[in-house]
Amino acid sequence: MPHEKTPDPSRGAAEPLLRIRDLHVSFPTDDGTVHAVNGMDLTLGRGETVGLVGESGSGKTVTSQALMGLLKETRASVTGEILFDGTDLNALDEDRMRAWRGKKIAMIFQDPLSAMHPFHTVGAQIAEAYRVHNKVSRKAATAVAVDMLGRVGIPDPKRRAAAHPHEFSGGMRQRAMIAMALVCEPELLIADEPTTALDVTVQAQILDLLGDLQRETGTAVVLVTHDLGVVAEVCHQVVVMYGGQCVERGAMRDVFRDPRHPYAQGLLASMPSLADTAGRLTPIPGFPPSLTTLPAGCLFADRCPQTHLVPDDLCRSARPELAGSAAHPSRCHQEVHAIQREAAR
Amino acid sequence: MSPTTASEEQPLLQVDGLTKHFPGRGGLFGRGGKPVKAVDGVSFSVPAGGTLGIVGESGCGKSTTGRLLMRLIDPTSGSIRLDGREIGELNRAEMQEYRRQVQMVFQNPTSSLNPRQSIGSAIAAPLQAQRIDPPGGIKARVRELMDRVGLRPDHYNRFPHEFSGGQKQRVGIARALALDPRLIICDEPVSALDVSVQAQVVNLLDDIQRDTGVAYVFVAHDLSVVRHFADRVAVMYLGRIMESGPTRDVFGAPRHPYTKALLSAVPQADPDAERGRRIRLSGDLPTPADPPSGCVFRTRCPLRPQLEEGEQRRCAGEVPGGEGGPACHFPDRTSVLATELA
Amino acid sequence: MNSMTTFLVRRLTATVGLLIVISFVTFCLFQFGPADPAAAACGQECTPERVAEARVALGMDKPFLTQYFSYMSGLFDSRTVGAPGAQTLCDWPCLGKSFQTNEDVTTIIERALPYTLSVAVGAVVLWTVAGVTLGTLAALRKGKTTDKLIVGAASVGVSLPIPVTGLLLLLVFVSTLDVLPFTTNAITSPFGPEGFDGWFLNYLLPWVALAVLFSAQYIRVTRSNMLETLGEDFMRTARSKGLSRTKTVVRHGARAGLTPVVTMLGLDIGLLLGGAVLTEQIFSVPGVGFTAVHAAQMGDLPVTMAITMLAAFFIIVANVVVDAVYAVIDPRVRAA
Repeated sequence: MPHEKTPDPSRGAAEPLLRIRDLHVSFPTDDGTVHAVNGMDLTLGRGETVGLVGESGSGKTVTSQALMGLLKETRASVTGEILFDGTDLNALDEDRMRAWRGKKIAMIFQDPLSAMHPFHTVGAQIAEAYRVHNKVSRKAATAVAVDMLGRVGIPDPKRRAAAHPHEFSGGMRQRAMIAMALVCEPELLIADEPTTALDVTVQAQILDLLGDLQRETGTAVVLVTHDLGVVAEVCHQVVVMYGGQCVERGAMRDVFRDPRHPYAQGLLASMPSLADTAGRLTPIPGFPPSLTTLPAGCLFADRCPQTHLVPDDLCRSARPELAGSAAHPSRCHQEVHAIQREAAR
Repeated sequence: MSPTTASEEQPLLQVDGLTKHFPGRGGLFGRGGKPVKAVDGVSFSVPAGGTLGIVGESGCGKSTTGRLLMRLIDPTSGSIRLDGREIGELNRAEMQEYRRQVQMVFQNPTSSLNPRQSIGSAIAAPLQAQRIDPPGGIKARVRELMDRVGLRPDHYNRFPHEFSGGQKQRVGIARALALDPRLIICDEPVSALDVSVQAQVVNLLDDIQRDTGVAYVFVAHDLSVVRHFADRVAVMYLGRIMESGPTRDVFGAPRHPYTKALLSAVPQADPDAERGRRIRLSGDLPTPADPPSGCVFRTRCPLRPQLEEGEQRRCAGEVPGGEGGPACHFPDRTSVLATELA
Repeated sequence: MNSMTTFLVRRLTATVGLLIVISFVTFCLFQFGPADPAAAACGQECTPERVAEARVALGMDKPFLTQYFSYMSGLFDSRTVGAPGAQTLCDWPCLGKSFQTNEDVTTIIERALPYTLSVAVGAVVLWTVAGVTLGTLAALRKGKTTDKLIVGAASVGVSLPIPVTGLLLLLVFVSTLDVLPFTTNAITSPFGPEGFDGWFLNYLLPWVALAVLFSAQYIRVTRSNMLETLGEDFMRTARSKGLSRTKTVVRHGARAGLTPVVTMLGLDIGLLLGGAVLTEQIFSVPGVGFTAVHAAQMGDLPVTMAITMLAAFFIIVANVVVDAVYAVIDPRVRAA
């Protein structure tokens, strides 16, 4: 399917590996339509890591499912473009999508214990992932699996390959999961909260491992997380999501240093930090919007402390578009109308 | 513990040598097997109106400690004293009183609320269970509590499924407050919540403490939250306390290598924070059924490569730590560890 | 000792203990129950003297525990039964002699068992295939018309008692349409002179009657377990490896989703081998259940006692087998 290839202004002429444009996903339910994703934009270069940050209900998990093409057989309606290497995944038929799934795009999950089959050995599960896309014997695939387990830092991989997931510790399981995802050397890895269920010292090990493997293989990573600390450690790019929208995106350093969107500002302020001395946290008041009845205006308006800066009550009547600098846009009326921001936030 | 603190007034809660061994499984008829040493000789105290954070990774025994304090399970040995009174020796009426004074807030607000019970009656339940008739009636008291935790009066007849996680946790807090407790055990109270909501709940707990003088034992794995919230902290590993003291000191200048490693592993939401200072802990947590001899942390200790053979023998043979100090044979090396890696 | 051996040793020890308890309880029930075997054995015209004689002949004059131990000894060696002077040898394994016919109980059970086996084999195959297939199909088509039809049929099936289904089947296929024979006692095996066809047609109706009831339950259990499994994270993982939906369901879903069905199946087979009482009554199949009812009515203590123990034995063995199979399927069980 031919697509007009417009160069990304922020990245020169090189075509990015992944570009999501105006993705919308909604699900019909008994309680009305759930608008899970309402305008998702993302650009990711080869070998880069982008952090998809947001709280529960922000649409980050649904976005990752859309990337895997796993929404097609559900009742979800998906519109917009997901350009992977120039091909729109959303327009791809199931057979071709399946050939890519696991091969070009792979995924790891939050809870490796439930994400692995309890009855099959770890080695067999990795070998299966390899054999889906490579015509090799079971024996050869097992050898690949053992090798892969060694690469993700599992000691005595040959013996451990014959063990079942429940015989692994949490960290070892996530390593095995990573081995399973990377065994076909995909170009893109979607990591959905990969360290949320782990202890902090184990989380550190896993993040190190992901970084090492990424440098080795050049795989690009979409890291879905709610933890801004994790993002600051490993991501080049950040996409901040709220109510199923990308409300801000840009280089990690820019977003952390100069958050443009009031939600991003609030999120950063509400994080307790180890460096802080004891003191009060700054929460964002209120709760995220209901995804069945979206407000007419900005989805964050109800919780936003800055609506008074925008004239004509625009925040409650009109949905802002992504605006501002191409490298660091945000979805706020202040950006749209270039309203002078308060000097002291 | 220094003599000055000992001469200070009696703490609200004093725990000494608290131990819980769960029976092991295995053997032909399931009786053999070594006991699992979930909590193994833990001592700490909480002053009235103070907050003790208990931190550690999964399997360190922090949640079991919380359940022991609540008397949800019985300790194998050790003493728990509230106002100097040993709770193992309380009679039924006194135990009832203990259960009034010590309340709990759970991690998962959804599963700790009965889905068929309205918010109002959930909050009223402890009052009814203790047969307390507050002046003005139960309903008025419940509305007062709801107001206290930031729930609207019209929430009274609503059901849990109509609430977000943060609101449900407010209900859990209101319920814990219903009996005017002097101590609340918070078991991971915010770890199921989103960051922005988490801050709301932490602040609420903070306000309540300021207004009522309630003391908290705050069991959590999130070091940043504990840093904010607790005046004192105890760091647990394999059922034992590795280090405890004022949060400022323990987090600011850790003396135990485990504390140091734990802190260094926390990702910082600051792009300019120094990277690569992480102290990697090798290997997995040993099983609490068969913990290492001597210092339980020695198998993963980052100090280990620097230790001479004789010193390593000491780690394997001797249980480290005395009164109050870090449970480490070589606490002075911990700071060296830091400077070398910084 | 590996965990599987430990497991089996532990379970078998428990099984033997349980059987002893059950045999004792059953013995007590009959001993102190309302039926008087001696009166039943001596027939219509009975004087008190003849009842007393019968009592001695049946060994019921001895103390209770003596009776119990002499009964149990027959399980290990042959023993003699009957009144002094008129003793007969009862070969190992001896479960006593029928008060009614004086036949070895073992012989009676040996005669009845093939009928029950015939009923069980076909019914189990029929309901398992139907239940699992339809249940899986319903799960895969959740909420669609297929699902609704299958679930609807299952709720009808589950509420049809065996006597109703059985009599309806007989009425339609035997009396009215005359396309199937009435069940005969002559056929007990597919390898007999009537061949597989004769055996098949002979037992088809009892099978269908049982299968209607049981497959309805299997549909429900299969459907709910498959639905649960389809929503598991590991199914999503399988899909994201690039497996097709069908392969995902077959390779990853079936083993996890059908494990509870295996449990249910094992227990049902155990239950059925103890005699499908109602089915055998309605279709006049002289199997274990049929024999048990008859013996119980006549106060034939040894026969009733033996069948009760046999039924208990099958159920306990089925439990052990199910647990062992479970441990083979699910490695997590082995560890526990």
